[in-house]
Amino acid sequence: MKGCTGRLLRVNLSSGAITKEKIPDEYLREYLGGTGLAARYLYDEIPVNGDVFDENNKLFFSVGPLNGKQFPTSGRCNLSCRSPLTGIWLDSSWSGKFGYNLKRAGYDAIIIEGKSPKPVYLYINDEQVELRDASFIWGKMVSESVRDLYEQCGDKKASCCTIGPAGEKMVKTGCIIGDTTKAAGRGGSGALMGSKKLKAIYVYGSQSVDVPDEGVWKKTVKEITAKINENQTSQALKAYGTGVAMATAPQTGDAPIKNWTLGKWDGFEKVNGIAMAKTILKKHSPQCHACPIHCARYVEIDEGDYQMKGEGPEYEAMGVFGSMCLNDNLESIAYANFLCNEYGMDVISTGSSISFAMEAFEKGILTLQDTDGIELAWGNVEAILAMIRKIGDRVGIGELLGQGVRKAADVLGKGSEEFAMHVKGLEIPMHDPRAFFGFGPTYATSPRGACHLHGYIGGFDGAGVMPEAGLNEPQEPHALKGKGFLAKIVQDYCSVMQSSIICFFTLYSVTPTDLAKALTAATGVSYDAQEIFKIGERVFNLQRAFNNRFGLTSADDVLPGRILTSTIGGPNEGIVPNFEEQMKEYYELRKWEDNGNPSKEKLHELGLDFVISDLYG
Amino acid sequence: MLLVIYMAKIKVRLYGLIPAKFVVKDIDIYKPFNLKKLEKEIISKYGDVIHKDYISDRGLLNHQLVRIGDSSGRRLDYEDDISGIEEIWFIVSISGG
Ligand code: SF4
Repeated sequence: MKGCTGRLLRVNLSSGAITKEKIPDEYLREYLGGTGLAARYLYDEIPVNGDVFDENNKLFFSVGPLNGKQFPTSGRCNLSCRSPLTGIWLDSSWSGKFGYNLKRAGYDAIIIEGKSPKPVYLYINDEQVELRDASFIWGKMVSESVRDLYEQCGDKKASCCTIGPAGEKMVKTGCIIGDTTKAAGRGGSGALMGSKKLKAIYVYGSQSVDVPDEGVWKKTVKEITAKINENQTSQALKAYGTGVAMATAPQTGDAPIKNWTLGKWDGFEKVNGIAMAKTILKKHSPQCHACPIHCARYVEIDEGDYQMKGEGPEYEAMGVFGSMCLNDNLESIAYANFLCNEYGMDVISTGSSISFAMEAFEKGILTLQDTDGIELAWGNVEAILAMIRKIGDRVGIGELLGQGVRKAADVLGKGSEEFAMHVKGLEIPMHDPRAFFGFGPTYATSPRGACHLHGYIGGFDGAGVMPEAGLNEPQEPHALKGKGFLAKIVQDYCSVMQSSIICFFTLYSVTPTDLAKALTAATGVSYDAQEIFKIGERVFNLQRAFNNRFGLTSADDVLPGRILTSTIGGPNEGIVPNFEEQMKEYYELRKWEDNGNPSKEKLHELGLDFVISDLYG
Repeated sequence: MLLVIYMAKIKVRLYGLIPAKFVVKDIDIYKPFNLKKLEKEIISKYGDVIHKDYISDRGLLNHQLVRIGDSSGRRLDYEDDISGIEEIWFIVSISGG
């Protein structure tokens, strides 16, 4: 298929064997690339038994038909595996330019299998592919590792992804960082990479990507770029970054406060993207390939206790290290975010674990003895930073918190399960289902656990329309009907975006019709909006089936009870989602059985017949 | 005869209605006033820069997309008495990352 290279690089770390394989054309047509292609391969290749750190768990890096040229926001790369944190499906993508380089090196995907006996990195320069000794960067923080890697490999136009000390030590919330700051944050992929002793991947590509008609392609790119530029949300993100949404949080109640208990916090006045623009912001961060939005921020703190230079905190970091911990010191939040990037750790899970620990401390479940004398009180900035270091170094209480709140609550007991805020073991992102009801079924059913990106509801709940899927009017955020429907259509669309693959922030401006047009221009296959929804649904259901094989059922599609009780004060006080009805609507639309399996009819309709015997015998 | 005109000063936050702008303004408005009158005042002042999606056919703000609340986050609509309120937020929903 045009727009794709049709090649996969298979790297076996145990034997050192590197092979280049052809990807079946029907895989590309039916799953595109990114998370879709990953699901098609990993469903077959990751065995259902065994531990997440067994050598037969694999890492799958993949791009899609829109990468490798100048399509807006197409520097992204997807990473999939079985999650060390949750034990189920994981995908996580990061922006930057890794995806651009990988595609231009001539590969749609890399599959990493086995385990290396010693630290290595994977060097890719077009056709030259080698495993090289990584002992000179093993043990180093991310920015130092990247600096030294580039020094050894040379080309500044290249890209890399690496793990930090957290991944090396197999901290289960350890992640993979693209270049120095773009995190494939969720689910512990860094720990899996660390268990395989793969420190980094360096990639440089110089080949062009073929499309059927350059003229049509360029015209399509120009039209879609113009739409993104005109969109008012793109403009707000460009002006103030994702942290802009913290400025509206006092009205929407979207950002959780004090481990999801309160509804009101004065700190939002100081902790938001507008406040950041007036204080520590230096410029837009220029790292994302072909992006007209430029949501990323570059900040500098020259004085005081939190000196740093680099990527500024995004919305999620402002939430987990700000409102969740009652910390209104923006500089310290920037520093906490910086530390997570340096260790290579997921910001959402790390901050959520710290907020959980603060509540456990307040309730006497954790004591000064457990924390090595650290007063883990709400708003204690030094305690937050100390906990990040402990988690990254895997020492003291950090050993437990680095395994996520589900495990921490299992170990601590004493009622801490009540305030361990996760779905299927993945800590919940900073969007409250009591503010936007659509997040309820979205979190409960996302294939990787609580996830706002597998169904970027924020772009639609109370804001947008998607006529191609039957959403003709913006839904009231607290509507009692339609949220199961909303969750489904947005999840399916996001699955296509992540298979194509482009940044979720284009969701505000790039419609399914636009995306179908772009995919047609890239591949020469005639896609329309209905067809791409079907691809999204196929990918989503295959990931569901992957999880069903690991024992996941409808009993796992739940939210923590705290989210289904009112906040104390704030705009949504007294308002909770009608979760059971939402899920009923969702299951009916998905055509899932009561036990949580996709029905045989649905699997057949989506061309997933090969799954039927696995789920139904 | 002494004519007394009552003026109120109300702090208005317009967050996201003007593309890429998050502005806080004090608006002077004659008493008595209600939300409709306040919106008309806002549109007379900023209507040329507020994005067209956020203005309804009736020349008011489009409540399907614009959320209105007092400083405690309580949502407001036309039927609410806003005479004693000193600060009103008008926001459009923008989701963070
Ligand atoms: S919108 Fe932001 S995260 Fe997405 S590609 Fe652009 S700068 Fe990167």
